[in-house]
Amino acid sequence: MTVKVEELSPMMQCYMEKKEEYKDCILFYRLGDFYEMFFDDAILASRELEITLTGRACGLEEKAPMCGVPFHAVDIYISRLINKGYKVAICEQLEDPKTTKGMVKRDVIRVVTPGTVIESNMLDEKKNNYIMSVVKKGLYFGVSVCDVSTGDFYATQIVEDNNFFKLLDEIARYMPAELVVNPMMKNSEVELNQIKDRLNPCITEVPDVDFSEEIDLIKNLYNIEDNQGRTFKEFDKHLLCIAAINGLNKYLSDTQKIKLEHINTIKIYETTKYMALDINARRNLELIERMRDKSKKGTLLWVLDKTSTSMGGRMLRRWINDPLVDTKEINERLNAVKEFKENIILRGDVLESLKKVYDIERLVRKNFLW
Amino acid sequence: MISLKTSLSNLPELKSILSNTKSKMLSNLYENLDELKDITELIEKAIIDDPPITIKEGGIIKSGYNKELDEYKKASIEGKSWIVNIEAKERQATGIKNLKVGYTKVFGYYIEVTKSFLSQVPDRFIRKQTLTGCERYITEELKEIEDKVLGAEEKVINLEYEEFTKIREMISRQIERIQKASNIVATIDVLSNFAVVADDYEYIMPEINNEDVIDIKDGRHPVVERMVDRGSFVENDTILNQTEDRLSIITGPNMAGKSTYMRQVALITLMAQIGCFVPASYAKIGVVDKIFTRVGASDDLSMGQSTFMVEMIEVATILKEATNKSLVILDEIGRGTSTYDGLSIAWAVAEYMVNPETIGCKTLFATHYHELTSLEEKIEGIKNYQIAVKEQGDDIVFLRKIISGGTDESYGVHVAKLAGVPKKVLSRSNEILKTLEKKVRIKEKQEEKEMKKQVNGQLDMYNYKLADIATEFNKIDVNQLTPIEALNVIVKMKEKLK
Repeated sequence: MTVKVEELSPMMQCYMEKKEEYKDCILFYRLGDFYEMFFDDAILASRELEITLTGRACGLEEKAPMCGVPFHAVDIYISRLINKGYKVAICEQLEDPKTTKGMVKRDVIRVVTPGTVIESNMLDEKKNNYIMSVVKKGLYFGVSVCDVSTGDFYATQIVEDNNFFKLLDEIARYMPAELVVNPMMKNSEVELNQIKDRLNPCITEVPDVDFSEEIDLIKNLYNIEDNQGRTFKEFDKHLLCIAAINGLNKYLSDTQKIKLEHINTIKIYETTKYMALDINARRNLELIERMRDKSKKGTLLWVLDKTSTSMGGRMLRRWINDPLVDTKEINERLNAVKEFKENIILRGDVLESLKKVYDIERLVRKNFLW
Repeated sequence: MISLKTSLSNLPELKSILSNTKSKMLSNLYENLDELKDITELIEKAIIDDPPITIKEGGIIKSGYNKELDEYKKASIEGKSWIVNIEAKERQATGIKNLKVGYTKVFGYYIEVTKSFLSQVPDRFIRKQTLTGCERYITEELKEIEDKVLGAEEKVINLEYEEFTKIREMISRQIERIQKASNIVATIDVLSNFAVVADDYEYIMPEINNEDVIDIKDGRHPVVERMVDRGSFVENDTILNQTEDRLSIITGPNMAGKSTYMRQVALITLMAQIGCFVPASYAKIGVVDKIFTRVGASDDLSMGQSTFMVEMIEVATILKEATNKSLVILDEIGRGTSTYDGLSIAWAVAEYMVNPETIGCKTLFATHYHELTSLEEKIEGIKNYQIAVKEQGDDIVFLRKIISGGTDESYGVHVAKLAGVPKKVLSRSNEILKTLEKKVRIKEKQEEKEMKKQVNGQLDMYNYKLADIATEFNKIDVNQLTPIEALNVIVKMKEKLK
């Protein structure tokens, strides 16, 4: 739909300006108690959300197509659009209309995408919701992955031979809801199709300049640790890691618009820290979802999951996805389990105590960043 | 924030529970568990227990947390009595008996003194308005109170929001501590969860080392044993090592439990390496660096690549990636192509896997190529296993028990029978089987040993077709079938048998 912008009312001109900035998103434009959508967005959203399409005088001869949702129920509508694979940009009123003369200032305060969802009604509480960046340079890959709802942030790089399969392994390990890729990755059609066939994430291309190899951009923002939790130093050997982190960091700040305080530590890991499980093994062994219907019932996770907290549930899932190879670490876990198994009173007390603990990780995110 | 407080307030209890733990990991967790008492106390002191949903309408901050706020609140609630207090106080101070405190929209609060008492008005009264019978004054104190009373509600809301934001900022500076604590809570949850599972399902603690031996006694498949009746799952032993038992060739009829057995070994190994107890009576697990599986490729058909191509891509990856520390499960490789091709590929793959100079990994190799069982004698490190089968007259019973030795019976027709293939088809296939076997015998006399293999292979392919049909039959829901559809099915089956 082409619109003569200069003939529009001032408010609609402002809308068009914002829409231009967020072309690939559906723009939720706050007007009083409603979030309104206009023009093509309105037509699309009214169909996808099954809400009434109306019109609004906009300065043109014809009314602008419009539909809207009340602000207090906005989460439900956003989640429906996200589930259908759309991105939603939320444009808020930044000034109090009571104290402002003329038009209030509005700006986009957040872009909701499948990989950056934080609303608890859109998340499976015992599952991490990951967004992953993949930067492809020649044959090699840099990978970083983050769960915005909990603050987990990891990165690694794949510089060995036969590495596309290694990349698939990493993707299978995290099953990200969204991939942020550089143009070279985006243009690798065969590889991209193999990824899509396996889990069909929402894929966003961002320019190469975002995947900077400059460590200074992130060094002061995050604690960067290695596998053992020590401060990471070997940056010059991990440029692909840094590029992937920078790319993801940029995308997160572009969409989330605020400093995400709870994302403060990035773990750079070597893929050899964990048992390598290729994508077929993960699926064939039905570790966390069944091959046939992707359900949890009938999987190893289903048998082993009697955790009391959501955080524990997510950690169990990660442990199953990442078996260890270091005997010392494994035995430490086993001995701890043994102690819990033998000391029934200790176990009973712990279980009782855990029952009263809510999802601290996501509560933190919810309380302090919105 | 209240649910955060409730959650965090359990940390001291959890910590004290863990205070006497002995294992290294638990005592480490105990030591590192931050009770976050400061945060709990801050929220406890500042935030009321049942806060409203919106943070911008006040009613969040507890009284006693902020003096200014308390005064505003008091002012808004007790505004009038404040004024009354001033009236009484000023009457006493000035001795003006009919001094009144009043309010107008324009001037706000004022003190009114009738003309007869003007002489007693003190200097600190500031004249604001003169009326016919009286003068109106304000005092600094009155103005101050007025400031507090008027719009006290609004101020309460603003101040509460401000305080709330401050508290939020204070806590958000502690986010890392909270995250570390929640990570510890999650770890404790998973570890205690493993203990619960171990108790409920009778798992035992595996012995973990770097010795490259997988030795499992009475192993069970963790998922399958939960799906079948209690006690009906058949336990199996496994031995895989770097010397005599590197590669197990497992033969036996379809549906007899080969795949379940192999997955069970992989799952027990994996469970052990995540730190979980395992379903067995004894397990010694030498840590493996990678697990590969190559099992039927039906899923990938939609990709447009042929089953065989997909299979070979996967096999290629395994051959490239596996090390002598890996565990590999190969289920019926070579199945997607013609018999000779398949057999030769399977044969070569087995050789490559078992040879320490190429890979030498621990491998479970299920196959319907019985020819492969001859490898046991030829190559060190290969052992034959089969699934025990009991024949009862014409029928067979799968015992689901892994035993030593190879089998050359594939029981294809039996499987078809078990699956409910109609008698007519079965008896016909028995006939064909016999003719074929006869042909084989004739050919045997005529041809070299090499040829025998080939025909045997083809025979196998035929059985394979039957098993295929059997699975398809199994999928049919008879209740949903119209007679015509049933006929069509039979026609299709016949076509397949051609």
